[in-house]
Amino acid sequence: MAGEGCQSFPLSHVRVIDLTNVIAGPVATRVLGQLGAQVIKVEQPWGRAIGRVAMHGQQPGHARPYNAIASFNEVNRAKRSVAINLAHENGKGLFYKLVAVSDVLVENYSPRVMGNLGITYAALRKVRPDLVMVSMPAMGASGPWANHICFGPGTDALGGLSDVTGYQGGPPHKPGNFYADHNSAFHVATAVMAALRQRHRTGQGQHIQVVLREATMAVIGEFFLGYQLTGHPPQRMGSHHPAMVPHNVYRCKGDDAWAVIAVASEEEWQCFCKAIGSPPWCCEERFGTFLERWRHQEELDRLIQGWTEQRTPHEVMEVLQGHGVKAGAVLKAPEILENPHWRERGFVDRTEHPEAGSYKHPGLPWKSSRSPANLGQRAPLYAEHREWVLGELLGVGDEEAVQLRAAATTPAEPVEP
Amino acid sequence: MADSALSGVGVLDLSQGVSGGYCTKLLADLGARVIKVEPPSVGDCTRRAGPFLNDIPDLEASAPFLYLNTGKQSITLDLKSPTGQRILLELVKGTDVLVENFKPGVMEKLGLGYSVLEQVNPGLVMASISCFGQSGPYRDYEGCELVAYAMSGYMYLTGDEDREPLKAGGSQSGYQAGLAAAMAVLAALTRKDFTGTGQYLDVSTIEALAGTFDGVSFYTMMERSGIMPRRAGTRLITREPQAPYPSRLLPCKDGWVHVHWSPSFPEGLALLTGNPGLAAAEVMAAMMGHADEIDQMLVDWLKDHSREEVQSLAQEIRVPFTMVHSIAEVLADPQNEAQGFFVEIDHPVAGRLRYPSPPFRVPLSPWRPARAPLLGEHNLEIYCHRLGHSMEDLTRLRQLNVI
Repeated sequence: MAGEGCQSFPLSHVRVIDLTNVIAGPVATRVLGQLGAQVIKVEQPWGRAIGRVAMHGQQPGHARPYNAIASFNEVNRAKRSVAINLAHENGKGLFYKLVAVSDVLVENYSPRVMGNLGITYAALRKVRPDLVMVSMPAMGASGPWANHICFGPGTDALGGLSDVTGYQGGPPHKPGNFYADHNSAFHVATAVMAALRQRHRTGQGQHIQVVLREATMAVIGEFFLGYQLTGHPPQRMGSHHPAMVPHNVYRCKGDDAWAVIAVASEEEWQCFCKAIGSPPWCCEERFGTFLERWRHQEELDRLIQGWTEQRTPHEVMEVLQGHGVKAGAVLKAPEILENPHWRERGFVDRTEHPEAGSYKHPGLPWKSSRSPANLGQRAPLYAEHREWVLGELLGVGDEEAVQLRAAATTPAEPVEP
Repeated sequence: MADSALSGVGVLDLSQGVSGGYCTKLLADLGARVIKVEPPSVGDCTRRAGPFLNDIPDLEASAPFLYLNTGKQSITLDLKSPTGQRILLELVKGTDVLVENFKPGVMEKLGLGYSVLEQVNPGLVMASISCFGQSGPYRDYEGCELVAYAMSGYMYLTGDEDREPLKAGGSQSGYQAGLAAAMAVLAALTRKDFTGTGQYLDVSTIEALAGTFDGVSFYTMMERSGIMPRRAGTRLITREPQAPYPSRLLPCKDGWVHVHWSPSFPEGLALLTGNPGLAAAEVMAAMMGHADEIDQMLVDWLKDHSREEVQSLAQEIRVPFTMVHSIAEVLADPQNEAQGFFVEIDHPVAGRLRYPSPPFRVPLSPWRPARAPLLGEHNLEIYCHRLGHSMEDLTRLRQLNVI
């Protein structure tokens, strides 16, 4: 697709083959789709394909349940879908034809599976010499744990993020849900765009590796240096901060309602005291200096909570922000969807899905002055674009197409193995 | 010098802290030439953040600064002084990308808004990272790591069910904002290759973080079932009884492990532990509904096994369990060793330390490990050799605290 001139979306000259499952890989290719790339998801022929059945957000009793899984439909927006049996010779042939007309291939199978399928970068280069390929192994392409099975949350544990997350004095914890998956996905999108730019200049493709666990370690990099510099391990500190007091989450009026407050300087402390009406305890000796406040943090937090408990999270935020103090409501999902700030910025994307109804999604986290937001792009139905792939895209001859349509190679509906 | 993905791309980094630092670190990792513009005398705030070498505060030995600024150059410049602003405009002429993370409106007040910079350099790609974005009712609110984590919606989903919400360790808001900015810059550079025009990028930290959890599943769950998604300890967040076993952290003999059930091997837990209860029909039909029972059966087995044993026994039969590693253990583990992930870099003050490699391996753009710069280390090179100021000017500018 290269060679298109003036373009509205940054990647509208790029075709991507998405050979990924679950969260991390699909999010990576979704970002490329949101930036205008034409992304073709190559799905497995059988219904047990992990992303289609295993995740949450299913609609029980749905006629084609694999088309109505909320998490699948979230992470696979802005893509087309074709199902291909890569273990079948005809299927593999079709896959190579697809690769020959594509710019990028992203896969997140374990190194073992790709080896078994015989799909290697060396082989793919023969049909597409300047292909940019990305592999996303959990642990790495080699090494003693190369074939370990591990999903994003497992890398929180094995990469150190769990070790530095948790309540003060408590056991290791983790950010909710699939943080590591999304994190690695965004690193993949970054690397793909860099490699495409290099290809634009040099004509050369390459095979990139983004290791799930390494992407997790990269976003806590300072802890590895800190440990070497000081010789002592980091402590889990809840929502506290080493250099800000108060710095915590406080219970507010309402059901499971919370707000955060962070005070960074002497000046901000004065503003904070004023904002909460200068209660007598603000002037007590034990809170007189930063170091005193640090030593009496627990008592201070209790007194502050006495103030926040009388107010809703939004009241706490508005009063304190009105005095220039860092504060925020701990927002729940519906508050994000209805919040005037997010609405004004057009962050929440909406899609209409023919079998699953309407969805709301987070959009891309930036606004570009000269590229419109590529909104409203829904996820594909299973194998929705089979005829388009065989016909318009690849121009497969009639006889061959009949063979390929045979369920075992490129089914229109999932087949049971 | 060998080619790299961002060869020839010049970046001016006016930012402080994690978000802008991580953005331009990624660009430097990919071969861009990054000049960090720091306030004279004090430098980037991460220079004062620590932890420090031997716990002695030192602008040149702060862990987050050393990590976030590998491979960059540093100059000092007071952007509040008219002389400093004039010098910055000179620098903008020769750059491709500018990254900043001041509060919205600060660059305009300094006379350095995009409309001004674009006139000096029409192809400029400028990324402004802020907590809430450059528009909307919260634009002028005070933000920080904690506030962003709360207002992204992520904090409500992190922590124990019966306790207060919890902030993730480190600076995840900052990292995600930086990563979003890096994506935005690369997309804008790609577009510029075709159109020749630059653009202005408004990156919001709360939006970046809000994109890191399964937004739609939660929103849909809430809207269709009326069930509010809520934090669930270390379990995956789901409320549907028929959902798969929610992976979580559990204690074992000598620490903690992450346990996970794999749909491609449903009987794995029973096989690993020898407990048929873990494959019982009623459990398999509604794993989330039986999550507490599953936990208990796993804990009964885990208490007799060490982390190492758990990981190797499980992985041997393709059950995706992993151990919880401490920071020290990660630094020394055999997989990182084999992958060569930690690479030694020397630094005149901090000494020889093992740094994480970039989180992508791009073979035609190999990483060239290089330390973080000293404060103002490249003043002579940039101001005199590149902009053509004299050595006398350099001294005067220092005396006036402009650099």
